[in-house]
Amino acid sequence: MRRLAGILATAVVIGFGVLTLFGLLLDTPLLADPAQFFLQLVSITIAITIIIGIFNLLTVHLARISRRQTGWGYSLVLVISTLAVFVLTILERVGVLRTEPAVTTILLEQVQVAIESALAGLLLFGLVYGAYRTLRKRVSGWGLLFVLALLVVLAGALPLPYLAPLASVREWLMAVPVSAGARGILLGIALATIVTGIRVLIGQDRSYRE
Amino acid sequence: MSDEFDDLAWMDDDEPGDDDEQQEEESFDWQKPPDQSGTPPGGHLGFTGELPWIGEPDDESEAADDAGEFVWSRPAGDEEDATSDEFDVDWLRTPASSEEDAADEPADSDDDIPDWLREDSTTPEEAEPEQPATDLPEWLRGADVTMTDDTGALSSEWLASGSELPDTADSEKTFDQWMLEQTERERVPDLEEQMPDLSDLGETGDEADADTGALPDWFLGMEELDVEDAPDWFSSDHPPTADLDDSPITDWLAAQTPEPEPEEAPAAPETPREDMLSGDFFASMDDDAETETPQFDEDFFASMGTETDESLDDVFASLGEGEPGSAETPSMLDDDFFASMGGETETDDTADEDDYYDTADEPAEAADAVGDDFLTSLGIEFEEDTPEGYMPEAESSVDIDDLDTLFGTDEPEDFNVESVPDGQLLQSLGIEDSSDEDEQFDWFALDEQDAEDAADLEAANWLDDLGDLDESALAAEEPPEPEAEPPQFAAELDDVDAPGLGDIDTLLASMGGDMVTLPDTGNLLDEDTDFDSLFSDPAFSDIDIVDIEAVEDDDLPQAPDWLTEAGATVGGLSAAAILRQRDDRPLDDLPDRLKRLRDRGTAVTARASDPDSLEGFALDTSEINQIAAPLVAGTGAAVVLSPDQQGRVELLKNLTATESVASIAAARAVSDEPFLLDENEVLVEASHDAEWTEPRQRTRYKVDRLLIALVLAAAIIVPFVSDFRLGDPPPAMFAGDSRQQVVFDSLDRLNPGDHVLVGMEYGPTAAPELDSTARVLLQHILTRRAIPVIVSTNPVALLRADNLLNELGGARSPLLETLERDTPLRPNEDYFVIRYLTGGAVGLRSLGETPGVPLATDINGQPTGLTATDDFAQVIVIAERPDDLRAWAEQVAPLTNAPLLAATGYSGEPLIEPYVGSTFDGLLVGFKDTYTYGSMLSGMGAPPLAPTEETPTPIMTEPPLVEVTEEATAEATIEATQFVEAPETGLVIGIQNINVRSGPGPSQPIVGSVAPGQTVDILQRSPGWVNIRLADGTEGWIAEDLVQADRAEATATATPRPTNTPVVPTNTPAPSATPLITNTSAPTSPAAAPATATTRPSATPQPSPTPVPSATPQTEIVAQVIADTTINVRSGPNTSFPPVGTADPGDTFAVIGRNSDGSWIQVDYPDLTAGQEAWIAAFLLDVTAQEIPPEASSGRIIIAMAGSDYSRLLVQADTPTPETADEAPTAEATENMAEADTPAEDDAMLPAGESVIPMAEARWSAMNLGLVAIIVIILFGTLINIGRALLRRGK
Repeated sequence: MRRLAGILATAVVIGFGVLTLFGLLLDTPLLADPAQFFLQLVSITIAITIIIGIFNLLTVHLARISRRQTGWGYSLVLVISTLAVFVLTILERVGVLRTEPAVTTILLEQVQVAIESALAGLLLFGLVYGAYRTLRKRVSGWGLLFVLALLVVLAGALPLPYLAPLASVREWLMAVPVSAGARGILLGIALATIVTGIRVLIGQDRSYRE
Repeated sequence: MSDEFDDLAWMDDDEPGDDDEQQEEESFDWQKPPDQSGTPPGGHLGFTGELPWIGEPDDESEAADDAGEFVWSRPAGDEEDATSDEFDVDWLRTPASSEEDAADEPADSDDDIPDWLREDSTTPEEAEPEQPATDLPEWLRGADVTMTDDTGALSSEWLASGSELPDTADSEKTFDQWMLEQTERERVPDLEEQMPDLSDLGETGDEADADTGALPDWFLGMEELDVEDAPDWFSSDHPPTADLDDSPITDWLAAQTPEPEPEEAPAAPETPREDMLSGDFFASMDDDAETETPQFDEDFFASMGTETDESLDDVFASLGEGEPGSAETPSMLDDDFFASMGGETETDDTADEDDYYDTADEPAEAADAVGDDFLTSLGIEFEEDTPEGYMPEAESSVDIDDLDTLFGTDEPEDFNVESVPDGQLLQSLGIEDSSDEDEQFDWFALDEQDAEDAADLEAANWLDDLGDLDESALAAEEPPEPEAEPPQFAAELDDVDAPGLGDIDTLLASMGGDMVTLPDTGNLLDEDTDFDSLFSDPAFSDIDIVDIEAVEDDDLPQAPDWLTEAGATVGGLSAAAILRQRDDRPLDDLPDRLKRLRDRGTAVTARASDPDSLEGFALDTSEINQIAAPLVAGTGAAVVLSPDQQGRVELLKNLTATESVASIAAARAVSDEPFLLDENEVLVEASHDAEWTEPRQRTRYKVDRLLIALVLAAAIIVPFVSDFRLGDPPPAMFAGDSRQQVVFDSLDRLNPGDHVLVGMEYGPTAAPELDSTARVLLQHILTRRAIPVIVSTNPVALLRADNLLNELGGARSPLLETLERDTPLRPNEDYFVIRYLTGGAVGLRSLGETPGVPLATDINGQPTGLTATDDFAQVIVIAERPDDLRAWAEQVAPLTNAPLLAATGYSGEPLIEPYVGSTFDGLLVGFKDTYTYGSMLSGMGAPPLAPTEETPTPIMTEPPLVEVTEEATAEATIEATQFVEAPETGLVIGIQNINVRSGPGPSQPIVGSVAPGQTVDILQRSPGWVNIRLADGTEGWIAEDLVQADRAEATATATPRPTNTPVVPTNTPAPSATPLITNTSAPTSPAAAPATATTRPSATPQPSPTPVPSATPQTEIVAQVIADTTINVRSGPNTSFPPVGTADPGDTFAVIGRNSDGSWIQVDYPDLTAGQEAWIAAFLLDVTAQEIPPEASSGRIIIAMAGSDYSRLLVQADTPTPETADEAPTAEATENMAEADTPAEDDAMLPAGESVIPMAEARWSAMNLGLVAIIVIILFGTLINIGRALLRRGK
């Protein structure tokens, strides 16, 4: 029975995949309309999975709280925050809670955005310290080249007149080697996407059965 | 049901590795070409191979059970003379290794090998052990070092010399040559190279070839076999009893050999041969190869015309090809090949009780077998019911009618091909020798009948079936009874009566009558492989490596047992072995890490009273293991630690072996793992309360890390708390042809009411960088009176966009003044924030394919009324990650004709750069571009609501002038007042009926309801509420958000407002000083009407009266270049116009005119040719009015700037009241205009001269100062590290 289910899943995926592919490639209503419908189904399904994910998140953390597992305090904060935002948003939408600015706006801008931005800003210190220790383990030619290129790019970004030559070097680095590498990466992504699509369409890749 | 799907192997993902290329690659690692003759010192000379089985599962664990694995030894050809006896092992000896057999063996068995075989790398000289390998470099021979000492063990000098590189000065070949040889040998030869040149056999006329009758190569190897050693069942007339069970064939093979400990005799490891036992070991086993029965060694297979680094399958495959390169050689031959030689077969259902035959009856299944492909590639086809089975029918004249004659004799005891004189072997087999090359070796070619039979047989996986034979029956001395219903193939073997050819496993097993099974070495590539335990296997009992242990016990330092038991390894080597053999190598040759380990080991030995015991130590081994448990993730010693982790574990162990709890403190001092030390402390406190005293807590701070953080923080903060500025500000404008300018121009071309699709694809982490970008872009769009439609696949980004638009369009926003409105921007009217697009790229695709669906509702679930993306004039994406930009470029851009613009941060620039120019028309990157963009926005006014001609209005031409009179002003005021009192209408929006309440508030009583879509009169407004009158006359209040003001109707009732086309009359000999207003006014919204009502002209423009000459000084509008660099002066009001010249900072030009929206200024530029105009972007100029004396006047007189961006200049210019005939009203009009226009026009422009980005200069300086700090830190660290490296090297 399990194998039968696997076969059915494979058949469904291949069938829908081929239909969607040709629906997007061919401008024929007979195929394009189902393809668009499938895309909408995907969007709806993902939206539902978000809701399921929220409930799953709450369930897991409520279980941790009830069992007093390690770190249950953090779970408690998470559950309380989730429920608080949920309730506050509802109250605002029904007009019961009217503040200027809105409470949810304050929570978003002053709490979430502030914390996330600060954490992202800490990345600067880590990156700089990492660059500082680049050659600590071993001094190699490639390491020196990397540090040199890094310094040139950084110095070239400085708006100082006497660093104008470095700015030209920086522009060249960004336009030629960096752009070349980026194009290579994009080509690789494109090829990998094609390969993955083909593998799914021919049934070679069946991760959806996991 | 399941049986039907059993055939669908491709759909069964339960079979491991069926679609995993990597696993396939890993499974073939053992086929890595072995390093043959150029093995450097220390390398082994053995040959390890695995005979794959048809139908062998991909799972390596299963393969290890089912596959037969063999280890062949080969004559090393060097350095084995002195240690041959010591290093010989029984399990590698064949029964023919006795002196008697050796006597019967030709001295040089390679004499039977044709010349074309000798052309291979394995020369007869190499094959002779007694002759030194002349092609080996001198350093490899180790001639100067005695391999063994007096005790017969490996000498330390010899071991030490093993790591030395060849001395190229003394060697005959250079290292490069040696490396070239290695590379060549490791190269996988082409198919044609693998194929033996069979034609040479008949053409060369070599005597040896003629003597051997051009036997196939593999056959020559067979003459080394002694049929006496073959299993009895194999040499008998009848196959063994076909009692099948589930025993794997390897077990059966193991049963054929006397093994010391059968339970420890698994199959040989499938590892590359270079990872096998050392070359010394194998070399020692080959010293008596000359006197023993030759083995299936590398040379043997090399003599087959293929590279010895090929797998056995390849070797056989190469033999099976009639013509070199004629067909593709399959990688797997094995069973098929032997099956093809095994004699006739029957494809009927005589043994249908076997699964083998069940499978064989299905041709389709058989066709899938690997061996079938091989046979097919050979041109062999099969036909059922052929009496000869699938025995190849020779296309040549080789007589193979009598298969028994070909493959053996009726008396297996007589079958000893070695006893057959060279050249007579074929004759002895009943094969006619022929010198005709066309008739040589084509007995592989089968007719179709034979091919089909063979396909059925080989697909049956008969070797597996053989592996299921009853072990006891096979192991019995007496052959089983023939009436025991032998399996089909066994019966065929019986018919063929060919010893050793039916099953290579049996054949090889027969060679190893007194073999012992290889010990389970596991994967020798693993880091935790311990060769000590490997050599302690009983299979190595006869090897003198035991003597090494003995020597170590006597002479060499010992490692404590606990270290051995711990199984710690360093870089794949046992720590105990390193400690024991630390004196084997010169200390200077050891890496630093091993030196440190040696020092520690020495210290342990010196300080410990009993190195083999931990009694009396502060911690016993169990505690040590507990301490180490966190390091190995709680999984015990089986976990492979990284070298760093191993080093730490060893450090801890060594320290704890110092018999003092103070070692814990020492460990604390050197370890970076506080968690480990905490655990350690707990353990110690629990067991050594009396001894343990909590060491003083010391917190180690990394000073450099702290300093770096402080310097960075200071550099970033200083510009915000001081006036310190570093670096020039970004340019005030983009380059004319830059990608940034494209963004600006694209948005600047928007017309009022255009919809712009804005993708906000960044979250809070990128907010500090991209919030400013989003702000300036949205502000530009809104300034152009266009309508942004915000979409995103990031829900947080949508919420933030909603907040940003609320801020931009809020009640106190300068933007409202720019837009000349006093009401905040309204969602779903002045802008749209669409609901969250789920699914990422899929959501974007859905947006492009069916835009009406996602655009139907906004983020609050309210209907929007938007329909299609084709309505969008522009599409701009502000994204944090390149993937989001790529998704927009790939999913949305192909589905819309609107130009696509992008904005991203510095991190996203490289990966999005390739799309610029092809998919994205323009790109903004980082704060620098945002700063410039904001500067360009400053001073920009909103366009008129009614579109006007973009063509500039030349100021020098005769303008239609009107004279502003008091009456006109009064009339305008009256009209404006009347307009304000006019009722405003609105459209009720929503999705259901809306309650109408008696007052502004949800708690007021309901007096009625109104349906969505109904038009109501708006009587008055209250915060959040609107007083409306319904069509039936009912008045009440509803929420403000539920009423959408009817703009069209309001516009229709709006009063025209003079705007935007300032006209400066010039060249008039005696211009009037009275300000005049043109009538090129545009309608405006009722909201803006009150502010502009006083300036509205009521009179029809009339020609100015005859000017009265006046002696009062005149004012002139001049523009001074404020850019910090040379700018272009263009022939038109757009960057698309070609430059006509340049202007330097500080240059001043007289203003002639401007374009409709005031973004470009026409100046009086010298050196223009006839018909040329000169235009400069307005934001690059500081436009002022200055007084010019009458005698210096150029004739340009400011007449009026009402409604223009420069009307305020009239106030700035200290212009005396003009003296005119109608002085009083004119002066009053001027005053009124100044009072009225100044606030209005000032409000209609964004703040000029400063960026619209808050604290832009401070942020810019902070970024620059931070960059300087970063550069200094990195440079400093680099120099320090380079210095340290030089110091280390100096030491």
